[in-house]
Amino acid sequence: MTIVESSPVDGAAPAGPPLLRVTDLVKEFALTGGLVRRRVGTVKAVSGVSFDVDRHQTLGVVGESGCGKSTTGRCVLQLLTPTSGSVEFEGVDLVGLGNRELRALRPRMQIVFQDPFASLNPRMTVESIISEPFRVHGRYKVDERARVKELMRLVGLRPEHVNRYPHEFSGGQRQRIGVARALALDPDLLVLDEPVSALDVSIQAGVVNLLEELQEALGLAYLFIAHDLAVVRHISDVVAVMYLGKIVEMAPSDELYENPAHPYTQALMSAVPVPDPRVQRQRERIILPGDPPSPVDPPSGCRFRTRCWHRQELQDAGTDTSICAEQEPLLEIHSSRGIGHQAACHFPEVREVV
Amino acid sequence: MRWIRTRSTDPAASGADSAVTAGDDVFDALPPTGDGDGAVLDISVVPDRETWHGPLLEVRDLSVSFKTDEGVVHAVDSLSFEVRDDETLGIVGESGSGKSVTSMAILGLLPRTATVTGEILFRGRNLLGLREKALETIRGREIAMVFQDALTALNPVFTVGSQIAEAIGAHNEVSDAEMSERVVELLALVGIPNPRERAGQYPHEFSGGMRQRAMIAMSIANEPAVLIADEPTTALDVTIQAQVLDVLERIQDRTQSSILLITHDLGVVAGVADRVMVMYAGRQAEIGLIEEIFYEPAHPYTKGLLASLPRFDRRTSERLHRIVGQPPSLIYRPPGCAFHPRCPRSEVPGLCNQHLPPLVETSPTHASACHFADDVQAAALEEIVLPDDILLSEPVTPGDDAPPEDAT
Repeated sequence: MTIVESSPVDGAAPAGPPLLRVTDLVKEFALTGGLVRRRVGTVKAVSGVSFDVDRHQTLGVVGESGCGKSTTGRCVLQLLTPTSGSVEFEGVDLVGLGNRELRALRPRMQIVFQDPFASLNPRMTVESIISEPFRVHGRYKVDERARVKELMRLVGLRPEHVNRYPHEFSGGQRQRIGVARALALDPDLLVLDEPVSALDVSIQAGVVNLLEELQEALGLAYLFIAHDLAVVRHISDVVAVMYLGKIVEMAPSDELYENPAHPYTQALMSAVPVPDPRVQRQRERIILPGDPPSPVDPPSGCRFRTRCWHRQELQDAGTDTSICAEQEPLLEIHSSRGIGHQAACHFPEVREVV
Repeated sequence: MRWIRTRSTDPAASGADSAVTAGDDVFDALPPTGDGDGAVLDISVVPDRETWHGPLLEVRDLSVSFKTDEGVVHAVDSLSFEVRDDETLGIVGESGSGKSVTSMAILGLLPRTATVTGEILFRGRNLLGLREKALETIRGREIAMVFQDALTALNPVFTVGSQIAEAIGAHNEVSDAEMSERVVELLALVGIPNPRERAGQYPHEFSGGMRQRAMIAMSIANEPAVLIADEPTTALDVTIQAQVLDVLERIQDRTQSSILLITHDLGVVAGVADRVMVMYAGRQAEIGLIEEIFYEPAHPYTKGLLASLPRFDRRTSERLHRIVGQPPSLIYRPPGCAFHPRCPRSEVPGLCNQHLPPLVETSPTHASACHFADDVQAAALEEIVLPDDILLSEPVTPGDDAPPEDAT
């Protein structure tokens, strides 16, 4: 039932399990309070998320702050232990795997963090930063310096800067160092958690291009987590939209942006300003009332219903929408669209908002 | 018009206990007042809207520099522009381009370490060199500011209502009852539900979008002639950004304030600005009407910037265009045009790398600081933007990473 298999992938669909298959992933955090740190509630950060990512492919995950997209990324890498669900890497479930087994798989999946200022140790030279993975994973036989220089060249940095410190580089260059470090052990999967959000526009394009070129050259699979819908459309093959811990819509990139079916996706897209005055001034903004509800106590049924403009419209037209509060909409293939477009809404309706 | 300064009470405006909703015509409902009626501060030195017909705010040859251990940071260099009545001027630029420093200079909020020269004329009166006391009569009343980070701009130990009241009380003498009534009206105006209850809450009880609206409420409390919004939506999610931009638009319709919108987001500018000024390395790169900047850019930087944006409303499979290199250091700024090391048009030796390009008019409303402004404007995008080359990497000058904003 996952759409990734049916979406356009470079070359023929591979036989066997996908590189990464996430099924019903749930992550909850205990909310403690009081003197004795008693558990007073549960933050339901991710509530049942499923998707596949294959080689040469990018799954973009978009959503607003607090929707659980970063938590999902961290659960995939087992940096956070999922509460339930499975994360299969080439058919091997990482959840519940022993430390030793996990450690053997770790080199194959790496992460690039958002903030290139915080994620690089200021006291380490570029060489020691990029070569640290070799030491961590006991690969002492590698000709470190040669490999570091090769990696630097690969990400568009000058190899002669190998002895410099992070502060001698600009934001975009630091992010390239972060990418080089992630690539050091020849991973198959990269989790990119807002990799370009902290960069200036003119620098951002260079890093996005770099990621695309690396994917082409090395066949990497990307889990690209971002809030910028324009960057996500540009880089992703498939896009998943998250709201309050759930995927509300998932489809191949162009299909999702051209024919969004979930009211939240539509509102989100209508709110993104387009850098084109004539287009932007003619667009209709769907303004959502209020703020997202707390993930400690999400609404019953459809989690979006409290802010749903579509439900309001239907109610005004006299339609019975009580199902929204009573029953949770499942992420299912949206009937009128082709295969590969899933939306979790009781009343999905395609609407052009771009 | 300046309803907030009046001391006269109108039962319709202040007596009613019913909650004011965002849709109510708060400004219209208030009684018109005669000039000077109840005004606490002498504003006779600054002409008002009726008697002044020149540009509302005029910045002439503004330069701001900071002395640091590593050298002098030239944050803003010979900047001139004007803000007219009832317009929204967008200032666009990347970090370190000097846009925030410019806004701080206008409000006189720069630290003492800053060296400021030039003129900032508000209705013909130079604000630079005004004493703090005189400046205070203008700041917050005639020119107000919405800051980027509402959480740090609001004081955590006072209620939101009392902070808005402080903004009103700084320029007006009003009774307590009237004051709380106005606070509620202002909160309602920016679309905060249950304004009466919300006024008694602390900033941490507000969400990010609500805090930003509370800040807007505070800044418009005295119906300023100019509202400076410095990255007002940068810290917000897009759906919340849409709400806040909507509020700003509605406010402007009502108060006829001019807005100086400082942002790095070309999408936001595309939606709300009448004119746009593009800044690069502390200087004006280009200024013009919104359509001129987006559809007929005459500066290679503007052109490159527009081309480097991924578009979410279009199918693309190509690589993004990219401006090579890094923004320059403001201590060791390249001679001539500061953009020349990154510019594909700077091949002419001895021109771009030696001579500072003057601002050339390409139309009566459009000017570009490029030696080849006309050529650039006429050229196709491909001729201006270099093809991407990922193996190209620039050396970085030490100290490159200290944006002047950090100094303020």
